[in-house]
Amino acid sequence: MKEDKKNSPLFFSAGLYSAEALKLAAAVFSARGGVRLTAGKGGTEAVLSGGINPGEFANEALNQQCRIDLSARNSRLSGIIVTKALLSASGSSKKGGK
Amino acid sequence: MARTATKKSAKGTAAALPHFNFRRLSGGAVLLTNDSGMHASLSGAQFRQFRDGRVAAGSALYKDLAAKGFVRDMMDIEGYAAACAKKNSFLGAGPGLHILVLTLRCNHKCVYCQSSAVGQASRGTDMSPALARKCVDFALKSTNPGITIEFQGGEPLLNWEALKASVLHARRRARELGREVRLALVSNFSLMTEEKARFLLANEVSICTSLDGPADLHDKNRVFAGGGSHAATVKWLKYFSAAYKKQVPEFRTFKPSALLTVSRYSLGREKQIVDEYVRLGLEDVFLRPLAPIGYAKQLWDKVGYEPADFLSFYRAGLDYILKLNARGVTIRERNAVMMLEKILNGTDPGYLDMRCPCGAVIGQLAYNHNGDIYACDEGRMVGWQGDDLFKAGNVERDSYSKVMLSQASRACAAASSLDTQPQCSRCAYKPFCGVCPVYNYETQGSLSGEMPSNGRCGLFMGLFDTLFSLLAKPASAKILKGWVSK
Amino acid sequence: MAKTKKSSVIADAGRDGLSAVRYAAYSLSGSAYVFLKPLAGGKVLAEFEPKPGVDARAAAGLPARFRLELEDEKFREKIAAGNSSLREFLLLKAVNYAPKAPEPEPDSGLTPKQEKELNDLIHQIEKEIKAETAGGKKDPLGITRTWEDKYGSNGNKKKR
Repeated sequence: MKEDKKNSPLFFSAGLYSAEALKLAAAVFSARGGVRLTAGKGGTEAVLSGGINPGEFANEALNQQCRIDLSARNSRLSGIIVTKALLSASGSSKKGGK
Repeated sequence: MARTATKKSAKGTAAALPHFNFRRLSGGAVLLTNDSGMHASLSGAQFRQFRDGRVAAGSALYKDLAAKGFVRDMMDIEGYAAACAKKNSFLGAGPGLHILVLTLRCNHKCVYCQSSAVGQASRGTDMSPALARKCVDFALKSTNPGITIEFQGGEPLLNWEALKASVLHARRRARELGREVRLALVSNFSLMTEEKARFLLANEVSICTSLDGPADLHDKNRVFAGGGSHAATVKWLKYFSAAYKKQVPEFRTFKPSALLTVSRYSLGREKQIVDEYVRLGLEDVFLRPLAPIGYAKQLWDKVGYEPADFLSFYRAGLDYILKLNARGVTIRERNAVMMLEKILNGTDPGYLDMRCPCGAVIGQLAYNHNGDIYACDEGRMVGWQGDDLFKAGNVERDSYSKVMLSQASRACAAASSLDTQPQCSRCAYKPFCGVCPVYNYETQGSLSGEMPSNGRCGLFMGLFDTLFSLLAKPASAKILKGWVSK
Repeated sequence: MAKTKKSSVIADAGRDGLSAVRYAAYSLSGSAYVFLKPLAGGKVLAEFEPKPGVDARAAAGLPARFRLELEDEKFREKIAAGNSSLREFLLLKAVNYAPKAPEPEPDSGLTPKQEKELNDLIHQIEKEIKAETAGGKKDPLGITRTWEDKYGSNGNKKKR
């Protein structure tokens, strides 16, 4: 896919955006165009193509980073509630529901 | 109620405060909420006192906050847990709503159609009676003690044989199993006949239709080749309303209900819409926003609108409804009723779109005409467009537990957990709200979405802001509380 | 078309916490495109480019919104840190909540067999009372009837 000439590559500092956040953001945008991530000194360079708005991509990267920050705090509790809901629905915690 | 003392903590510091969320409202007030669903509205000055741990013990404000779980040292642990459990009682049961899409065929071409309807002459888009019975059997495997089977389409009356077969089968099996089964039909009424109506009534099928407002608006939104969609709707609404008033000892007759989908054509006509509902004796009007999902997504530039536009429409409509109530007219708004059930009564109204985790699979299932099972009806619409992300299985091939623990189910449950959403986890409306993974996926490309720019989030926040603002005013609060008083 | 005016704020991640700075910036992503850049000394430059459709007044207010949100987020983080264990305890209790069983009936001091025998006897007596009172006799319990009247076969019934 041709890279958008008018968008210069974005550089995301490793101290502010984790590589995982950028990968997740790239996955979100995979249907809309191309995102090429290259690890560099102190961070990651992202080259966008297919008409992806760089501002939207940066927002999604921050969204994913904030989700990662939050999961460090809440993932256990969230997991318990979700598991409870799934097991109750499936009947795994009681009779029936085959 | 037993009070379990929490560990004494230093006053005047944030560590002395329990967990809570807050929202700064217009006018300087601050709304507090906590996981148990309790809420308190403070002035700016009161919030600063509260934040700094300077609320005088024994003051009226202190007592109010303590009673609601906002004073850590006075927390009623047992009561708090009980309130949380009550609010989230749905976590202990499986899908309660089972949507059987009896056919994709329809004789209407509604401008906002999200149901992936096809023309009447289409082939291969009807559910067979045998498959419909299998869907009923599958639904009865739910761990929920009471289920609702809702017949939809397209237009379900176009597949009368399957509808009849599944109604009779459901009633028979419910008797044999001693299960509580509610049956509901969602129809445009254009194909209703006296014979069909009598069958439905005799089998205690509750009836729901679409009514978008006065005739010109309704017919503009809901194009019917035969003409006069509104006329057919009104005719049969009156018929079923009369049947409800008559009531016979042989079977229960339920009040018919109507739903409204707000299109761009509806904006600015809120009073006329409400008046039409009142005219027809309907006591609830559901001002449902249109979502850019399925076909509606493709036509969004023609029929869609911004969340701010819907909120203006909604506030004006709700304001008018409250005025009518003040004059003694019985009419409620359904979004408000469901939200108020949560806010004021701490109960779950069964609104699957507003739960954490959301109702995808674990709260509802949508059975397509070919037996494919989807996480919800919106997920089915995405599937019709070629993306089976929300498909949970198939009635003929997969077991109930396999469907419940399918990838679609687990993904939607995880994505809709508000504790993993950066904005939602901090939001004061978190105890009452929920996200929709299908909406997020269709509009933002991921199941979890990005809430600060999410249209649905903006819309729901606006609805909650509106309700809490009205609850702060005695006159409107009295009416709203009356809508959900037991 | 008027060019959208970018604005920026310098935040001290070392003092305020990186996650708080991130979230404060994130909270504006509905109105703006947000980009974070590192500066020396643990500081962060948060840049905001208003999205299309955001009016000039709202755009000008972005830095102030960021600062307010940052203060609120710092406060939230303190609350969360001080309550994580309690909150988890409460929510786990709620997830596993079962209403308390009703109070048991007071103990009569009888064994279950004795209770059954007593209940059967009471039931029998009630049956007899019903049968005796059928027809509205004046002496339903037969208190005034002699043993012979009740059980004898001679038919010498003395009338009272």
